[in-house]
Amino acid sequence: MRHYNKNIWIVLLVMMALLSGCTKQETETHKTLRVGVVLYTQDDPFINALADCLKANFEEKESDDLKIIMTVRDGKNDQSEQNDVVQEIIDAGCDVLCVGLVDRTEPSDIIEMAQTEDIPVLFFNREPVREDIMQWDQLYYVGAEAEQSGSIQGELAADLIQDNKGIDRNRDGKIQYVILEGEAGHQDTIIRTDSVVETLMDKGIQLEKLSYQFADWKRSQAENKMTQLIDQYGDEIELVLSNNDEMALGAVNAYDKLDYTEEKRPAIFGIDGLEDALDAVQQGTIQGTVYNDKEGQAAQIANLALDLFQNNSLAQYNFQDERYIFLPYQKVDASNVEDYQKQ
Amino acid sequence: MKKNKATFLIVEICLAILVVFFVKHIFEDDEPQKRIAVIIDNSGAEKWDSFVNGLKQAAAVENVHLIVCNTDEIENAEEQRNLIREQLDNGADAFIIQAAPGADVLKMLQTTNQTKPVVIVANDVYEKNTDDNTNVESGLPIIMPDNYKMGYQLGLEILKQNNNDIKGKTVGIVSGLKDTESAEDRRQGLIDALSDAGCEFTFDIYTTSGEDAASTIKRYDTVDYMAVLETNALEQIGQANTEDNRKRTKVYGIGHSMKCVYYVDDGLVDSLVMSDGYDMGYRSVVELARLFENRFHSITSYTTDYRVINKDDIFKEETQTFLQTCE
Repeated sequence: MRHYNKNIWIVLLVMMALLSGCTKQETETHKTLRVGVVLYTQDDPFINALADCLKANFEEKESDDLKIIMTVRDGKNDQSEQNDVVQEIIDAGCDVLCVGLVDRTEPSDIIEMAQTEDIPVLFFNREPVREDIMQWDQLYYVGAEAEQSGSIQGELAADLIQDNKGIDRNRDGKIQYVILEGEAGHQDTIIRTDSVVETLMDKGIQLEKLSYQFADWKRSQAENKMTQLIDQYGDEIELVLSNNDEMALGAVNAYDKLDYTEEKRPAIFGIDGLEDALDAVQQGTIQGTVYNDKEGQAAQIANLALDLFQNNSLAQYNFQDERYIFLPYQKVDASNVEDYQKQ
Repeated sequence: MKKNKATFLIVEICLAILVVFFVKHIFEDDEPQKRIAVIIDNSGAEKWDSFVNGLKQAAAVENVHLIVCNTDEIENAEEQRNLIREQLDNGADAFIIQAAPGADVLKMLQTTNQTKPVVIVANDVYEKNTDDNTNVESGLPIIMPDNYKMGYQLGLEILKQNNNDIKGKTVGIVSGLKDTESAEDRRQGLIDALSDAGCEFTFDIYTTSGEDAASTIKRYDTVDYMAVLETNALEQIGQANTEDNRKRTKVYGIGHSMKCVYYVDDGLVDSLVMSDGYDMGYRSVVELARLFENRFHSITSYTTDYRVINKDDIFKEETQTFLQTCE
């Protein structure tokens, strides 16, 4: 009887060992991180370039134990549409959401959906208002400070004007300028426009505003609007300040099509550091741009997404106000453009 | 007395029938919505817009729950199998699947079909008979365009737009992912259409996942005509044409996005063959909904239509109606 009991114990121990082996094997099988990236639009070259960087970062992080699926969806510049897309992504299964909001003041539905399913959200590019970000401890923002982009653009323009008296072609001591603005009422449009003008004035540049046009961040629209401005003001325009590179490139296209010579063209400045704009800076058709560090932002988003998924400590992040990661803008002009083209 | 008893019985039977009828309806209403999981490569890409619109429209009409899986590139059967498993755990009742590249996909999809119904869309499973190189009959219902015919049609467009005289001209071919039915059949259709034209194929390449086709073709000699047989590659090459100030190669393509249409409008792509993605999406959901209603319903394979879009046709009413499905 005693011998019989011993056999039973041996069989049980072997079974337990086998079962524990099974459990271990299961925990070691590869995991899948499903990242849903929802852009405000897929028509913005900067946003597309940022999404490409993000994809490259996630691909680098893949290993035999970790598969990362990054799905990119289009918000079609419509907040209601973007909310539906987020709902679909959550419904299909998602571990981390990365959202570039259509309307920075309307993230509530997205936050509610994510919170219900306990899915962290990393907002990027368009910063939600603080009260929204602070609603839940799984909400973060990765981006840059819009005000800084305008200030740096102003510094670039001021440096050029002070070093090159030829910019003031009519020698009246004032710089006649036009502004190509993004969307009417958009936070970045307002902040970039205000801060570039303030910076120029702080630097002692006398300004005379000829006009402004909204071109919705788009090259083709900017080309049309700039053509109208050139028709109206001709070579009176000495400076074109553009809220982004796409519109600055649209301005260049307008001057190209009207066959303006180099001497008659104004100084043109953009923001973002798009590849085409960097080429234009090198060729001298744009005098400077403000580099929005998409590589740095993408790296931070990818790292944060992975750490949140794996429940790792977030101590290594340089958060501002607990939830914000800001990466600085950088000045780009003819003197350093090659460094950025290599990136 | 006897008459009263008979009347009573008839009334009772009628009431019983009504009770059964209403109870059945009550339980039918309580039945949870059937769930259809859709597994397509890079599901957020613009090329699927009209297809997804068709899916959603049909799902609303048929009252089924649609799950468009979050995917990026699906490169092989194993990745597709994992997605299917995940959606089985998620309670999927049926699948609409774009077959992944490779010959080992067929068996996996047939196995899935034994558990839950599967409809194949966009491209057939890539498996050839060894004796005559024809496609293996998968036995699965397929709703997709005739990829061979689309490639053939593109070849005819190249001839038509160049007065049927391309003798001695050079042609470059850019196909989609190797070992997919759509890439192989479109390419074969194009080659067959141009076989007697006397042109020379300078390069004949396949794209790979994540590759920029516009950069790749720079490694080859400039050609007179380029046939781009896949949406992403056509978008990339069309975009590159925007930035190219030199006299450019004439580009002809097969593509399914509005971006491709814009490139035709801008004169950067000379002719576009575009399949009816909306119909493909709509029909696949409707067929599965019929199967949910009647388990003996047999899903029949269907070949969806395609359309040739040239610059002069874009603003014609019928083209605009067709393009509305993409928005």
